[in-house]
Amino acid sequence: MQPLEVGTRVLCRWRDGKHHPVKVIERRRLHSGGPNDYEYYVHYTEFNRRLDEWVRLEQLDLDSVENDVDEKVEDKVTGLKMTRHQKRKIDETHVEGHEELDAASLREHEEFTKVKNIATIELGRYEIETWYFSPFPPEYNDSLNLYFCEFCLNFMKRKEQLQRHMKKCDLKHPPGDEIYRSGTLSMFEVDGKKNKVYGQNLCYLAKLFLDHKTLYYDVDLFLFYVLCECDDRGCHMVGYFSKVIYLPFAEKHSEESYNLACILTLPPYQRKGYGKFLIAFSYELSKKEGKVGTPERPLSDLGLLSYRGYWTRVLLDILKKHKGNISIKELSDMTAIKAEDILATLQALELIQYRKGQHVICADPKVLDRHLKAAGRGGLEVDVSKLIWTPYKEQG
Amino acid sequence: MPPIDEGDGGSDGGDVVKGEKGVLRIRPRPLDFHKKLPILKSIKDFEDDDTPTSTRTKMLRLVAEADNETQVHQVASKKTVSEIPTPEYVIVDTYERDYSPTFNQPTSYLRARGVRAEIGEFVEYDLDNEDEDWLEEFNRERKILPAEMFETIFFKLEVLDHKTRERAGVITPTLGAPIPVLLTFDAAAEALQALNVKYGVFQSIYNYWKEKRERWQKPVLRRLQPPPPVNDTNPYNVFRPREKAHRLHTRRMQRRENNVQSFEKLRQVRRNLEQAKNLLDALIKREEKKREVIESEVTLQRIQMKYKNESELLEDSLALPGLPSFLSKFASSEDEFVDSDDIQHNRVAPQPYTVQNQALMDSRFVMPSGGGVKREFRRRPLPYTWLHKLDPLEPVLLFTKPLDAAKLAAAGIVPPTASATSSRSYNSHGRIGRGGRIIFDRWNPLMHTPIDSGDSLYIPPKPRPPTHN
Repeated sequence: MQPLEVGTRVLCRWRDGKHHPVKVIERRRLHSGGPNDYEYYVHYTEFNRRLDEWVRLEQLDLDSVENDVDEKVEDKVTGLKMTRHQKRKIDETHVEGHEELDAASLREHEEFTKVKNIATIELGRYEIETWYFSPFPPEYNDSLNLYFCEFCLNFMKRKEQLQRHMKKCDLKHPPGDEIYRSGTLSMFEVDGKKNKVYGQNLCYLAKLFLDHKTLYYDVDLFLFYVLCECDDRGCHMVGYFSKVIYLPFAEKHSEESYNLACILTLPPYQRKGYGKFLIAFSYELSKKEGKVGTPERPLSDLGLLSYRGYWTRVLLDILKKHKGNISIKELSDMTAIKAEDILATLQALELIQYRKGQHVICADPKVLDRHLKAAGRGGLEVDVSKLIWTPYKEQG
Repeated sequence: MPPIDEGDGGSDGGDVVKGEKGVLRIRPRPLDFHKKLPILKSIKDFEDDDTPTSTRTKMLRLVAEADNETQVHQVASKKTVSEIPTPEYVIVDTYERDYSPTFNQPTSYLRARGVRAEIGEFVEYDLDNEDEDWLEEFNRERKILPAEMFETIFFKLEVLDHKTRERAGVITPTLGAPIPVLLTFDAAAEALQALNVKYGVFQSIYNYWKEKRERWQKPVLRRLQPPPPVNDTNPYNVFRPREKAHRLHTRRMQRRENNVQSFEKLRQVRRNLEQAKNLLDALIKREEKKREVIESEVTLQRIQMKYKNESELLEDSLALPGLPSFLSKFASSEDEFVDSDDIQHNRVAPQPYTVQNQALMDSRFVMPSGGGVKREFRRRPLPYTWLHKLDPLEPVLLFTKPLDAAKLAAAGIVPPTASATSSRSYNSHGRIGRGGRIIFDRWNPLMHTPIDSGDSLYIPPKPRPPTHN
């Protein structure tokens, strides 16, 4: 039979045993097999690109191959007439969480990241399937698996190389200052300028799990806040966030400073509250700096959920207890959350109303409790008394 | 999300706008972040007769009263975390063996050591696939070369070559042309003889390394590879250095060195600051002197005003030759109203003054009144020589002079009495006001002060027995 063309839409059996619609992104010949034996790299159109993978022909339901009839349909939302393919593209864009990129950069981004290069990595205790393409040096492109030293984050193509490395690597924690310790949880601050190779390694690693992270520029203007769980084997990274160093004369608008560039919880440690801890921590640093902060955009779908949860919890806790009236600016000063984010959160929860010629905030305890419940648990708490840190000052 | 819609301010705190489908609604003003917003704790506070918002009130009530979670509050996002599938992970079975439990966490927070590449002997290089394959082949008949040694030598060759290129001055900040090997075999052999490697083995390693370098056209050790240039558009190349413009901001801080040049610069800065300091000191002195001058002038004016009332003193000065001509020139008709009787009551306390002020006072002399004072002539000692000098241009301060009742009568001016307009009786007190006009103020006989003096600039003369008309 003829191999499928790139761009074909068909149903494919996923890990849950059911068939899902996919689009063929790439194909390649099998090493062992005839001239027509291919494997296909598919994108599940209902899901984020992180679930794209190489599949075998037998997973595809060939009866469901779509005829390429591109008829005109009307989009209900905008009332525009377009082809079915165009409409589908727009719908899928909303599913995937790419709304915040414009069409041109989206296309460009997709082009060179369309196929994952590394399929799995080994990092410490876990072997993890990757989510996205990451621009490792070209000599690593022939490897499906990479092995990371969990402390210095050097990566190798064979397990034996990692084992040899572990014999000489004496690092047992990230190469920075420990600025927070509470129980087994520690936070390390790593200066990208002083630890360039570590910073780059961390970026290569993180890119495997972040779609829109860019490694275009070097790491020397970044600080990396690496969160670790510590035991007798060392301090094991569970997640991190990065932050741009703001120098007073390089800064354009102090009101618009970002207190976070990228944020990631490693897959084995997700849904345990570490992500929310990282977000809360970034705001505690902002409070210590005396500045209001906001994360860089675009946020991933998971990231946006976490932030909405955090903002909801922090703001609603204040509204429950506060007596008298309050301004958005005061809320911002108390929490270091940017005023626009506060407003967006309260509006999304419909807590800001317009009554008798002025805006008011609804703070009915029952309503607030409903929202708080929906926002989810608070994640691990930041004990500010255990934070030993002064804002970054550049040394000569 | 943008803030609530803009409005230009309508009559009811919002604009009336025609919305979708022609429905009229009130569009609120934009939200001011600094404005304090009332917090309504109860749903009941929302009860209103405004039609457009009643559905919202209902919704809020639904949310508050519902026992189970409903669709209503799923406004933030359609997805919850559990609905977003993610790729999977498994546990590595050799983990416990590969990572030894030798970490002792100190009680104090860990501090960063220096970067290990800069401190010591850590071998940064890890053998890659082709290195391992080559080594396996090399060791096939006999295990001549341990992997660790091979790794160490490879690493040191890289570092030595980098140093050689540094000395030759050919290190480029970004990757442009292919980077050649400058480290010769002999130099390498000599530098690494302490490793005690057999000559033949070392030669093989060197040749393998050199050949690899020629294939790669750049250093093998990642730390030594220059970054791609800023204008490289290949999306697969990463970690470009920031553009020069940005670096310029940080140049001062990043490249501050401790050398003779910066010492001289610092010296110059110090000299400049000292000069600036001296300049400012001189400036301060000048301004202080200026202030002193003005204060002295003010004091002088005050003294002169006081003395102006003492016409007798001035009269005496008239006795001196050469002076009367000045006086008659500038006497005005209003002077006739001046009551010379009053003058004698005015006692001016002699003011001590120092000789050095004399120069300043020369040019400022109150012009004494002319005509009226001539009637009464009293001799008074003249202790103050400056009274002799009169400035013809000095203005006559009429408002300091009291009225002469006789002259008033002669001119037919009658002070206001009780019979005039109101039933109450006033005491009145006359004075010369602005422009020489005559003013009668209501006078408080007990306090000897004007009642509700309209002209706030007017300071009445010292209290004295009332001179009723």
